[in-house]
Amino acid sequence: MTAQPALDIEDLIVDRVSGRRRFRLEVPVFKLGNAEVVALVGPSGSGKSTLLDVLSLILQPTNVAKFVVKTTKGEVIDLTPVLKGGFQSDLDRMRLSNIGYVMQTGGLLPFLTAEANVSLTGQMAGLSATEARKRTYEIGKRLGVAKLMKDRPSRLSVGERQRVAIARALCHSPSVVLADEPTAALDTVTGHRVLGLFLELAASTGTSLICATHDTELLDHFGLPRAFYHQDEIGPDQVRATFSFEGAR
Amino acid sequence: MIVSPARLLILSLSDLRYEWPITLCIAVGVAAALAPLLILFSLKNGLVTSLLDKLREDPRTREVRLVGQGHFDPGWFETASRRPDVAFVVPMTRFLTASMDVVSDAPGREAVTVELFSTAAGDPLLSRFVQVPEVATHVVLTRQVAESLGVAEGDTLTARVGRFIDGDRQLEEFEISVLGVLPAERFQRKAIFITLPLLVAIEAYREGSTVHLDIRTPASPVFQDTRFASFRLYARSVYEVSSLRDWFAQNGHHVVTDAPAIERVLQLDRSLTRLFGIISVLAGGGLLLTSALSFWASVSRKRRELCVLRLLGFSSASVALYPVLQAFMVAVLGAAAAIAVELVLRPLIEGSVAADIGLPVDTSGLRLHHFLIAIAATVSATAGASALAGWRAARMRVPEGLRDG
Repeated sequence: MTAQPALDIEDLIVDRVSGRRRFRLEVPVFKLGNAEVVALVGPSGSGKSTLLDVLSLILQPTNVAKFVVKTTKGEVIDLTPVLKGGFQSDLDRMRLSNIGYVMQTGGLLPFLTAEANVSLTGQMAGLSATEARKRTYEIGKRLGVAKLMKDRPSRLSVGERQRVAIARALCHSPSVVLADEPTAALDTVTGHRVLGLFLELAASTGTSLICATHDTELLDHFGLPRAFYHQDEIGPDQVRATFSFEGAR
Repeated sequence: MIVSPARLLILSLSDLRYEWPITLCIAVGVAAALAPLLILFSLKNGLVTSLLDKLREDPRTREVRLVGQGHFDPGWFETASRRPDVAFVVPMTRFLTASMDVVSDAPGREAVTVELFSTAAGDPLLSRFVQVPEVATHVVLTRQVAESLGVAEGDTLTARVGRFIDGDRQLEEFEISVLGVLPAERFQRKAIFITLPLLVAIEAYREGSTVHLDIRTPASPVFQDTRFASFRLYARSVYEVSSLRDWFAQNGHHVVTDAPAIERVLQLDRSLTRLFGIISVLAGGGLLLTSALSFWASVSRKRRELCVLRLLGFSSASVALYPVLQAFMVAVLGAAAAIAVELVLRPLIEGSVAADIGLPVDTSGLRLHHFLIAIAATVSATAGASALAGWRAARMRVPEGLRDG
C-alpha cells in the first residue's frame, strides 16, 4: 500500500486569455510525496506562477478531475468539488492550515515587524499569540533571523526579508510550501544560502516543497528534481503548456 | 475566513501609523473641511443668539406702541390682558396731561418737567431692576431725571401739577419718595413711573374734573366708566409681536412695533442657516469625494499588501472592511483636529466679530452634542466614501495583486 501523497492531482486544466492570446495550462498527473521537493522550470509566461496560484488555492482551475490534499494532521481531504464550485472560504481555510507561500520579493507587510509578519500566519491558522510567537522565534533562529524579528521589513536586507518570508510560510507547519522564484531577487551566494536553509528546514519538518524558478544552476547545485515542461501551439494564438511530474528528473 | 475585528483594527491602525504622512494628509483634509463648518456654525449660532438675546432682554423690543390716541375701556384691557401673546398691559392717560414738574431739596437744582407713565405689578420695563410702585407716593425715576435732580433711591421729592382754569393758574404740590432709579439703558427720557390711580388723578385734576388733586386714591380703584386714551403693552415674546400688531391693525388701531427688527434677525438666522447648508453641502461633497478618491488610491497603492492579507486567510469581507476602518480612524482624527482648531480659534473670532459689529458674540453655544454630531457625520461620510474602496479591495484578483511590485 502506497502512502497518501501530500498533493494528489489529476487532469488539471487552467484556461487563461490575454488579449487575443489563449493559454491553456495542463497538468495530467501530479503526486507530491511528503517532504518531497520538486521544481517548476520554464520560461516567462510558461504558467509556473499560474500553477502555483492554483496549488495555493487562490485561483480556481477551469477543470480538475482530482485534487486531494493530505493535511498536516494526516487527514485526506478531497477538494475537487470545492474547486469546481464551492466556497472560497473553504479554500481559504484549507490554505491557511496546510499551505505556505513564499513570494519572489518576500511579500512581507511593511507596516508590521518581522515578528508580527511571521506570527500573524500562525495566529490566523489557529495558534495562540504565545504559541505563534514561540514558533516564530524557533524558525527565525534556524533561519538566522531571530535577532531581526523586532525590525520592520524596510530595515532588512533583501536576503533577510526572504528568510523572514520563509519563516512566515513555515510558521503554521503546513504540509506543502509553494515558492515563487524565492531567490530571484538575491545574488547567487545569498540565493544559495537562503534556498539551502529553506530545503533543510522543509526536510526537517516533513514539509513538501514546490519551487518555481528560472535558476537551473541553483537546482543543479542542490540536485532538485524538476517537472517536465512542454509547450505547443494548438491553434492560431492558442498555446498549451504542460507540466508533467511523472518521473521528474 | 472572517478575521476578528480587534485584529483587523490593530492591523489597519499599524498601517496608518506606518504611513503617517499620508494619514496626516487625509486627516488634515478632513479637518480642513470640518473646521470652517464648525466655526461658521458656532458663529451663526452665536451671532443670531446674541442678537435675539439682546432683543429678548430688552422689553422695549416687545412693546406695542399706539400711534395717536384712542378710547379703551376697562373691558378692552381685560380682553387684551387675557390674550396669550400679551405679557403686560397697563392703561395710560392722554399724553398732554401725563406730565408734571418735580423738585428736589438738593442745592442748585431746578425743577424738571417729566413725562408720566403708569406702571403695575409685572411691568417688564421695571422688573429685575427696581420695585414697582404700589402706592401713589412711591415713584420710579429714570436715570436722566435722577441725575438732573441729584437724587437717589429713598430720597423725597416735591411734585408739582399745574393747570389753568379760566386764565387762572392753579398748582398742587405733594411729596413723593423715590422707590428706585431705572438704568439709563432701559429708558432714556426724562420720565417717572407712577401708579395708575395717581396718573388718573393727575389727568382728572389737569382737565378740571376735580377741584383738588386727590392722591389718596385706593390701591385698587375701580375704573368702571373710565376711557383711557392709550396703553403700555408688551408681547409675551419677540416672536409674538407680529401677531399682536396684526390684531391691532384688524381692530383699526395704528401701532408701532419693533417687529421689523425682530424679523430682520430671524431673516438673518434663516439666511445664515441657508448659507451654512450650502457650505455644508459643498464641504461635505468635497470631503466625500476626496475621501473616496484617497481611499480608492490607497487600495491601489496597497494592492499587494491587501492581496497578501487575502493569501494569509483574510476573507474578502475582512479586506473590504480594512479601508473602511482606516477611514473611520482617520475621520475621528480629522474631526478631533477640527474641534481643536475651532476651540482654539473661538475666542479670537468672538473678539474679532464682536469688535466689528459692536455686540458681544457668544459662540460657546456649541455644545458637546454638536461636536458629537459633527464627529458622527464626518465619520459616516468618510467611512461611507471609503466603502467604494472597500468594495474594490474585496474584488481584487489576488494572483495578480501578489505579483505587483
